[in-house]
Formats: sequence, C-alpha cells, structure tokens
Amino acid sequence: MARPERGLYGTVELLVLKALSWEPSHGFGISRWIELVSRDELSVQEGSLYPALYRLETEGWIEAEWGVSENGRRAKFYALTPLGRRMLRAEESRWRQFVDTMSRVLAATPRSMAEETR
Amino acid sequence: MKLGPDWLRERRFWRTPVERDVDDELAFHLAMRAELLEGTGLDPQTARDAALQRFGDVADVRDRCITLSHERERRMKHLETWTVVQQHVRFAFRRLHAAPGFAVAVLLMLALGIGATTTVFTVVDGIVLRPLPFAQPERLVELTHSIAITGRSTVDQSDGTFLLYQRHATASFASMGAWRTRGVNLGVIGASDGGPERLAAATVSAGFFPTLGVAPVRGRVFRNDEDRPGAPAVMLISDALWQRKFGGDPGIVGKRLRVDGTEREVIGVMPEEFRYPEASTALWYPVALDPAQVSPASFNFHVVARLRPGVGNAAALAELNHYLPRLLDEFPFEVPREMWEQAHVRPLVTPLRDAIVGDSARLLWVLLGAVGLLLFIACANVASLFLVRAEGARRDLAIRMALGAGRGAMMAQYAYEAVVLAAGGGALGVLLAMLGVRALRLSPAASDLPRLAEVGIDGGVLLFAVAISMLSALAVSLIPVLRSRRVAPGLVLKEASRSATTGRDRQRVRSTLVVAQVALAMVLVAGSALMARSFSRLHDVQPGFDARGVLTVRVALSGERYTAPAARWRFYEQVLNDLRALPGVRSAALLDWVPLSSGHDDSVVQMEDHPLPAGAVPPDLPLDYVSPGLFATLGIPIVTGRDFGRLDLEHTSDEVIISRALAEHYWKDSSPIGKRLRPSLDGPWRTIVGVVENAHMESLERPPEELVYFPFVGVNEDGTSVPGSIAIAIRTTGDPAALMPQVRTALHTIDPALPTYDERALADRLASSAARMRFVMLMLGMASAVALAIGMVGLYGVLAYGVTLRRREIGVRMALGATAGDVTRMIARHGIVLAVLGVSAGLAGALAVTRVMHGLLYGVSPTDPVALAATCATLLLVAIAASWLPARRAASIPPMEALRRD
Repeated sequence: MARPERGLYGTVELLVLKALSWEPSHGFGISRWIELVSRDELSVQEGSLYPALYRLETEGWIEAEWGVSENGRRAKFYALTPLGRRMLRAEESRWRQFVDTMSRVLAATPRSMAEETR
Repeated sequence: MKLGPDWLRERRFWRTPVERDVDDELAFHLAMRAELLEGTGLDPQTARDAALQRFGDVADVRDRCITLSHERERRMKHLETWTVVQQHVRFAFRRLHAAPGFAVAVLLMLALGIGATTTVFTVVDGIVLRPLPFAQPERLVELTHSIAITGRSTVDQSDGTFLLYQRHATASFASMGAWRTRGVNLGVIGASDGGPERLAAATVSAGFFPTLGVAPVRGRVFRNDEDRPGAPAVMLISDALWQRKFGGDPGIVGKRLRVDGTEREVIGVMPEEFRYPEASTALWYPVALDPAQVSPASFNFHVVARLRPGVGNAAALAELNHYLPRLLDEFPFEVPREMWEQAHVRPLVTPLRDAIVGDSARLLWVLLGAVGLLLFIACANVASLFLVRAEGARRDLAIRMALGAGRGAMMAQYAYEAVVLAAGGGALGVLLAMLGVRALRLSPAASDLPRLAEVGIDGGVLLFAVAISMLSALAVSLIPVLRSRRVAPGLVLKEASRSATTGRDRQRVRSTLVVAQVALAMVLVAGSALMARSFSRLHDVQPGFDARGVLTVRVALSGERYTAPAARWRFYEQVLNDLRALPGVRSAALLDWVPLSSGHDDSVVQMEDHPLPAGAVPPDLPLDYVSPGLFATLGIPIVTGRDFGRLDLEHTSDEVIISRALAEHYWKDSSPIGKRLRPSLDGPWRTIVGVVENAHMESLERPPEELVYFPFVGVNEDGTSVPGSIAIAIRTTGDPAALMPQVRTALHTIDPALPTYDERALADRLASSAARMRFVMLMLGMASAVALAIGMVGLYGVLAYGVTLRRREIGVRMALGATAGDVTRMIARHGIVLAVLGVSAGLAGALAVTRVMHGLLYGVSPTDPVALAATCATLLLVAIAASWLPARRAASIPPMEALRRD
C-alpha cells in the first residue's frame, strides 16, 4: 500500500489535530473552532475538512465514534489517538521551525549576506 | 427534524453503511450551520443555501469521503486477517517449542523429502521443461532422415540434401542452417604464452545463427555469401574463449587467429549463454558449400530449421518429401539411382528440444517419480506423527471443546502447525536443493546430461518448492484435522481414564499409513535393485580388450607442414620410435577409433562372395585404421590369421582384419581368411588376413561391433594416404597416468606446434563408460535407502506406540500366564503382518511402475524375479528388525506395574 511520508499533508490536518487536542469533537465543532480561533482569516472551505478527517482516521491518528451532540443530535465524534498526539507535537515544532526560518529569510537584506561573508 | 438537502435523504434506503455514515455526517454539519445562520436572523431557506455555499462542493466531498472510508475498511480487514494469522502462527510456534523432538523429526523428514524433490525438479526444469534459449524456440526443428539399410535406421543430412531443402522448402521453413562439429588446433598468431590448443569447433552454414535467432555480443554473424568456397576466412568465438584466452579484450573483432593452420579473422563473439551445438563449442566458422561439389549420400551434417509461423510438422514433412526426389536431378550423384531408391531415405522432422534432450528426459522423469515417492513416504510418516500428537492431545482437546472451544479453531490449530513445519521444511529443503544441484553439476556421473549448464534454481523452482511444501502441509494435517471432528468430548474423557483397550481404532489409521510407507519404499527399493543388477551385468561384460596399463592420446596434424603423406608418416614413425624408447613402455601403436570413445568412420562394405541383388544397399559398417601391433598393445587376441605385416610408405598393404562378430555373420561355416571385401561400391577389393576377438568399441551396453580394421597407411587413387588425425595407444608396465607428462614431452619435442588431446587411461574410459547407469543407480539407491529408513522408523513408531497403548492388556495377559516369548511374538507378529501387507501392495506397485525403467536397464527385465525377490526379502528382514525392539520392550513390562498405572 502506497503510504505518504509520515509528515502531514497540509495545514487542514494540523488544524484538525490541534482542534482535537483539548477534547473530542464532531466535524462541525472542529470547523467552528478553526473559524473562531483564526477569526475567519484562514478561509478554509468547510467541506475540505471532511476528507482530511477521513485521511487522519485511516492513518490511525484520530478515531471516530457516533455519539449525541450538545443539542441532542446524532453526530460523529473524533478524538485524538496517542499516535495522533505524538504526531501533533512533532508537526507543531516543525511548523515553528519552518515559520522561524521563513521569517528570518524574509527579513534578510543584501547587507546581512555581505556581513556574513566578510 | 431536517437533515440537510432533500437529495441526501432520498437515496438513503439503498445506500451501504459507509455511504450512510458519510451522508449522515455531512447532513449534520449542514443542519448545524443552517441552524446557526438562522439564529442570526436569516429565513430557513436562505440559511440552508448559505450553509451549502460555505460548505463547497457537497457531492465531491461526499465521494472523496466514501472512497477514503472504503480504503480504510480494506486496510482494517487486511490487518485483522494478518493479526489472526500471526496469532495462530505464534501459538503454533509455542506448541512446537514445547515438543522439540516432534518438531525436529517432522522438519528433517519434510526437508529431506522436499529437498530431494526440488533438486530433481530443478534438473528436470532446466533440461526438459524450460524452453531452449533461442528466439521462439517452439518453432525450431531438427531435420534428419530415416533410412533402411543394415546397420543404420536414421541418418542426418548431406551437403546435397541441405542445399536442396534450403533452395526449395521455403513454404514451410523460414530458414535453416547446417552444422557439424570438429576438433581444431588453435594457435594465437604472435603469442608467446602457451602452446597451441585443441578446441571444440563447429563449422556452420550462413543460415545457422539467423535460424536460431541469436545475435553476437560483439561484431556480427556470417553473411549469406560466407559459406561458399573462396569466401574470406572468418570465425566467431565463444564468450568463454574470449574471456579465457584474450581476457575479454574489447579489440578482439578483427584479430586473426590460426585455426588448423589457416588464418581466420574473428568477426564476432557469441553471448555466454549460447551453447549450441555443444556446451564446449569454442568457435564457429563457415563451412564451404559448393553445389557443384557435393556428396549427396554422405550424411555428415546436422540441420536445424525454423518453421514459418503456423506451419505444423506434418506440413513441413510433406514439403520435404515432395522435394527429396529432385536430389538426384539437381546434384552430381555418387551412388546408383537404384541403390538410392532401395535405401528408402525419408525426411524426419523432430522438435529441436526433443533432439537435444533425447533419452535423458526419461531418466529424469523416473528420478522425479522416485523422489516424489520419497516425499509421499515422508508425508505419510509425518502424518502418522501428527496423529500420535493429536491422540496425545485428545483429552486436552475434549476438555477445551467441552468448555466451548469451536471445532474450527481446533482444526486450524493442526493446520497452522503443519503449515509452520512445512514452511520450515520447505526452506531447509530449498537449501538442500541448492547443495544438491551444485553437487550434481560437479558430479562426473551427470556430465553426459544435455543442457546441464542451464540448470539452476530460479523463480519457477521456488514456486514449485512452495507448492509442494503447502501440499505436504495439507496432506499431513488432513487426517488429524478430519479425525478431530469425530472427537466426542464425553466419550474421550471416559475412555482416557481406565479402560483396557484404548485407541485400537486410532491405531488402524496409523497402521494403514505404515503399510503405505512400506509399499512405496518397496517400489523404490525394487527400482534400485533393478539398477544394481543392470550395473553388475554391465560390469560383467568383457570389453574385449585389456585396459590395464593402456594410455591413449590423440594428436592432429595441421598446417602445410603435414599436407604430404610422407611428412605425416615420418612424424608417426618418429613418435612411435620415441615412445617405445621411454622407460616403462612395453609397446605403442596407432589407431583411429579409441575403444569407448565417440566419433569413428563408417562406410558401406561389400563382401565379394556375398553379392547383393542389383540396387541393394550394402551394410553400413564401422571402420578403424590401425598400425601393426595395435592388437597386441590393446590386448585384443587374434582368433585366426595374422596381424598386418610391416607397414610404411614403401610397404603399403591391401589387407584388412575383421572382428569375430563380422566373421561369424558372413562366414559361419568357412574361414574368412583370403576372402575379399571393399569399403565402397566400386573400389579395389581388400583381402582378409585375420580375425580378431570382439571388442566393445561404442559402449559396453551395445553388442560388439562388426568391425573392419584397415592398415592406417592406405592406398587410394592419389597414391598412399596417411590419416592426419590419429590416436596413439601405449601399454606401460606401470601407471598410465604417471607416464602422461613424458608422452606429452616426447610429442612436443618432435613438433611443439601440435597440441595433444583426449589424453586418458583406457581403464578410466572403461570405468566411466557406465557413468549414466551408475548415476541412476546412485540416485535411486540413495532415495530408496532414505525411504527404507523412514518407512522402518514409521513401522517401529506404530509398534512402539501400540505397546504403550496396550500396556494394560499385556499386563493382564502376563498376569494370566502368558510368557515373555508369547508377548514378543504377539507384537512382532503385528509388525510382520503390516510389513507383509506393505510388501504385497508394493510388489503390485513395483510390477506396475518399474516398466517405465525400460531403456535404463541393461540385461535385466523390469520384472526381473531375482531383483524383486531380493527386494521383498530385504524389506521383510528390515521389518522384522524394526519390530524386534518394541516386541522385546513389550515382553519386559512388569505385569503389576502395567496393571497399576492410571
């Protein structure tokens, strides 16, 4: 079975893992959380959340169970598995490193390169 | 309650659970979002539309989710199966670990059976099954002729028939090539290292390589006009020669080498895997075919041809038959037309693979059958061991079943144990096969098998090993598995406590297995007994010559130096003089056909006082060319008459000497001395001056030849003739092998440019002449020894286990007055009854099966009573021995202890 590399596919997956790191939630709850936390700036199409959820479940990073939502409806709840939690931690630090590097690169000027070589 | 858009709900009733889950989940999301939007003051319809808007392409998301779900389910299922298998295998390992004796015995037995079967299958696969390493090999055929003359039933092709077929039979054949093998002296021009070398070569027509469809790794093959007289002298060399002699020199193409005194340019190198016509062929060069100068009745060429697509053998044969009568019209013909017609020459078309593999196929199938039997015996024995194990675990089993374990799980347990053991046995077996194949390839006994270099373990062989391993697992676990279904918990628990005669019914199955093992072993032992008798018959054959202390060596005179007969004669004369002067040499003489070697001259021979009707074809007889003293050197007695007199360039002779077989054929009641014969249709007559004792020249298995010996210095139309290639026979007082270096030095002193070859002690030829029979005998002997051992271990096991089961009964009997002798006899009788049953069944099997060995045997019928009686006696004796120990043990059981147990 062709398996993608063990990193995350994209930002949606990382957001999902982060959303589930506090408590299990259904898809709509995750969608709401992303919306609130990012103040709707990460304008993710709500639909694209679901394939990401299914992929994460297939990888065994999250697991799903049918339950009842806060307003009494049947809903599918997702929870982080221990493996998922480990992956989240690894991905977070990778993201931070990436962001750091990118900010350094973007803040660089021609002079800083010249100073370096002198 | 509203759940998403209507189309999501409508199709619900026929959706699979996965799809329903996805739909429900998406519907929940949309409903929640719509509710939230409604809370901000939108009317329900607008809120639902806005929710859909925010969501994106619902249908697309749904499809992707469903696909992902299905994939997930598939993964889960694989994982689940794998986990179950792993659990079972782990459990099987644990159980086998607890019974190491059982596990090791089964592993060894299966490894032996699978190893032997795989070894022989590897050979069968490489030689018989695998297609020839040529392009579209199924369309390649060999063309020969059947002929109706005394002394021959088939002939190959002549230059005339080949040219005729190549010219006309183009509807059936895409191409054809002629070839003949010969030995050549190879000299490297300008090289200082090493002397000349004797190599196997093939002279081929231009169509040879295109017909086989092989390309050189370097350079090119022959052009169409290169097999005509006057064409430039070119040749191709083998990869082996290129590597060995020229170190793989990339500049080899264009180099000139000296072949039999002629300079030839290397135009290409053939690939390593190309080994045709012989594995040892080191070079190929064109034969010069001249339609105006052919001998259409000398069948000295082999022809390989490629059928056109869709043409069958019958159509090809019909076309050849159609054109053959034109032979006499289109080519200059050396024999009378009447005689040609009387000879009834008819074309034959044989698939090339059959022509190459020949009768080795039968031998190999017989061996494969033998090791197959061995595997059967091993499986029967292992099944028996499994049965004992199953019986031992019956109580345990019954308890577990009473506690609710499923029958399926119980059966799976045995199956998994068998699979684990068979997998281990198979792996060990493949290792054994690797060793076996290597030993076989190095073994001189197998050296006359064709295509041996192509034999090796490949994917197909491994697949075969896996298949027979799994079949063995199935076979050995079948009986315990089937029987475990019959376990009735209540009954078993009761029976296992205190009952007098337990397990008799179960013993019956094992007894049947033992009878089968003995029967199969009997078939194998009968086969090897027949081979052993053939071998001893062959050993008793008097070769007709005294091989002790005789050394033969060949030399071929090549180059311009030796074109004149006088030069050849001077060389031979000096060789004989020098060799006779060596210490330890008693005599030395020349001959052409060394006994028990292949390759000799033959010719139609006419007897003057046995005139044939007009047009009848005289018999075709083998010829030999010898010097005076040859018969004394080889130890062939002269029956009547005398040896040739003095022979040299001045003293040529028109005399001949014949073998006793020929003398008895034509001159039964009179003396052949003074009668005349001629090795041609119209040449001068030769006078018979002596008759020598019969000698087996071709092989010990064939009757001695009706042979004509000619003096090696002869007279023909051009004057005296002296052969350019001859063997020297030397009789020594000591070890012929020790004399070899001196002989070589003596020859090289006379002419350092001449290589010597075929240097061998005659006794050595005699010993290896029965190589094929010895090979079959050894293989069958090993298989039957192992089969016999396994069978007897099986018999012993059943009896010993029976004694254990019957301890109480035996105790009672002895308490009631049975003596130790009575008990011994009782148990031994059981063993002997089983053995007799097995031997009777085996005898019937042997009578049915040994027929396939017809053709491998010598002087023994496949139903030879002596061999079969000896086989029966051996099996019964060994069976009595195997019964003896358990019987003795039974008698030594103290009655009180036996009764007190349990």
